[in-house]
Amino acid sequence: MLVIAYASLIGLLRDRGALVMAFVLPALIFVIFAAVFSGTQGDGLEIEVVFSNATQSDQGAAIGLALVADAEIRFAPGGHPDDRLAREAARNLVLSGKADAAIVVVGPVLVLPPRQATDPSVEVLADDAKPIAGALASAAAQRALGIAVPGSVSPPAVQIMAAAEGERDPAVAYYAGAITIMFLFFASLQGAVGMIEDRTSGIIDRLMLTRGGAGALVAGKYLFLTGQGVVQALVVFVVAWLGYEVMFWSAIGAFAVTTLLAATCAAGLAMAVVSVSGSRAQALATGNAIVLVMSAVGGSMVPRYMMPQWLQDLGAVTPTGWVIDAYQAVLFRDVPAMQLEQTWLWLAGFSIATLAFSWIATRVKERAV
Amino acid sequence: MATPFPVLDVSGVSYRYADRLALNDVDLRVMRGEVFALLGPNGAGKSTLIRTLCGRLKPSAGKVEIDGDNPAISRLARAKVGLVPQDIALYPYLTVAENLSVFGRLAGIRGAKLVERIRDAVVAAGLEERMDQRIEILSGGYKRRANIASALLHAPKLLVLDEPTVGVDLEARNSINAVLRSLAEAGMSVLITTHDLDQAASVASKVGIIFHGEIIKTGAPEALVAERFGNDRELILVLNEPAPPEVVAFFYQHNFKSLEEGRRWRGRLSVSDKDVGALTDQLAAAGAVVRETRIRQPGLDSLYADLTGESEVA
Repeated sequence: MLVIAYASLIGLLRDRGALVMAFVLPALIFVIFAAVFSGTQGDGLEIEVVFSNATQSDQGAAIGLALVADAEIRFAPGGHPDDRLAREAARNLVLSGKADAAIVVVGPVLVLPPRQATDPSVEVLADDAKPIAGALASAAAQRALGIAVPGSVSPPAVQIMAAAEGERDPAVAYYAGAITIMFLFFASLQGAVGMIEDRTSGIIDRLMLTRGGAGALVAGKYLFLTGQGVVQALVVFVVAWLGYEVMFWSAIGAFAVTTLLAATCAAGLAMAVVSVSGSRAQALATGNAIVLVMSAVGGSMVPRYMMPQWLQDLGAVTPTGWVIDAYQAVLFRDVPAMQLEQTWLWLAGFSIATLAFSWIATRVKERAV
Repeated sequence: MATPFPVLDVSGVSYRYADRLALNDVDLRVMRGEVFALLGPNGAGKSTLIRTLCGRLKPSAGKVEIDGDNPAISRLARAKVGLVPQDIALYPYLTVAENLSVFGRLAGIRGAKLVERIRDAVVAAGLEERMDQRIEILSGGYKRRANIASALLHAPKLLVLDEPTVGVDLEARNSINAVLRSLAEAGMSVLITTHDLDQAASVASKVGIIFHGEIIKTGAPEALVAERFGNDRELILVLNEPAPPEVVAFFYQHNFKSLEEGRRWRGRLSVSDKDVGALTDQLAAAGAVVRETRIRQPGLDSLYADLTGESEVA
């Protein structure tokens, strides 16, 4: 019994992939989630708001100044009180995802006896995809009212409203994209490890004599994984449409481009990992570790706006982050295709870079055998 | 009369890895319709030589030509080689026909020509009744045949087989040998590496023994054996227990070689059978009990053991 335990221990210690999966990855994922959830429960969660003094009143200006002094909020670019935004412009910044919420002064702030009904003085236009942000912005607006017009603070004075019109469920739309990209990565990795069997069985040796060489294998596998990814994404979104009315076909062109690029990204990353791995176990361990970390940081598990700023910044430069942002823009924010160009370029660049890497690595490896 | 043109011509080829010389001045020729068996222990240079023939490695010195073209630089030369790797280099979830179609297309064959080539390869490998079966459910022998058939689709001039009978039973081995013989009769040149000396003896018209990166002997099996042993016969003695030091010394004194941890010994017998009795008496006197005595005509295995000091080819 002890001998078996000893042999297993030695096996584990000599298997770097298993070591990473057993000890490094859990700790790393814990650190990421600890950073996310400690931020949401304490004072660490900062939101980005935009301000509009729609009444152009002195009271509104005073509220703006009080917000500037509030350490728990930041102003999104173009949304500072000095920018003098109109209500609609502030709303558009929220709809486009550039701000978490808009604080709009829409009427005079009255000092009334408690519990007396009044029209709201301040509207908080919240991004439906970020429900916590609306609540935090509302709290900030209440504080600002208390400072700018002492004695005015009563709940009806601030009203939280959805920035978007209609009945779309942003959480479902968000997770349709978030889950799709995570499983695209996992499925592509699973499909790409077949290349290692092709190498060990001699299929690549045989292909090296043919006109296409190893390039045919890389290109064929990439094509297959991309097709598989597109179908996989379609299945998720059809289910989201049938079950939760996620109208992915309402912007079918942008959706198709995003889906295709998400699939090529997943295929490229999987093949890049496999092309430098010596065994199936090594490829799966390395690939799973990369995908899990990228999914956690990029927002597949927890929305990025709930993360501390440094983690948000990190997540914003991952393919997972790009794909989620692109799906959000297409499915929920109705962002015109032209504005998605930059995200698509990042995705396309990543796809091309990983494909080129796997092609070169495969050629070098096969030549050097 | 013009000298026949070799399909494979390896001349003075050396290849050096960073830390060792894997091939040293190797010369090898395989003529049209010839089956050439390359024998050698692990690490002798067989795999390096195959990679060189397939254009995967560029020799440090010397030249390789496949039907007049250099495979390291010419795609045309590489297309003249059909490679049968040691493992089953096929997609297990596809049928025989589907695999052949895939590899045929990868070789650039299309349409009616592909159908014709698949039919020819299937007939050559004796796979007619297994066309619609998945590779994963075929027996080891049929998997090997399908492995060979996949290498025939582009009608190569030279078929290179790496250990084609490893792990197959006698019947399958015989059927694979029959396939190789019929291919050679049809004019194809065949180079096999094999650990199976019986296969080499039965199928190869020429053998080469490679050892420490050098071809130390090459020629027709019977001629090589006759050259080495003449009229001598081979004597194999099997002892009850490993030989004690004084018996070992006795064996070495009489030019015997150990085959199995000092229990089996191989020697040459150039005298009469009567002397065998005297020899075993001397062994008994030295403390060894002979369990079995065999006298036989030397074969390829005898030659191989004699030249390399190893009883089995790895």
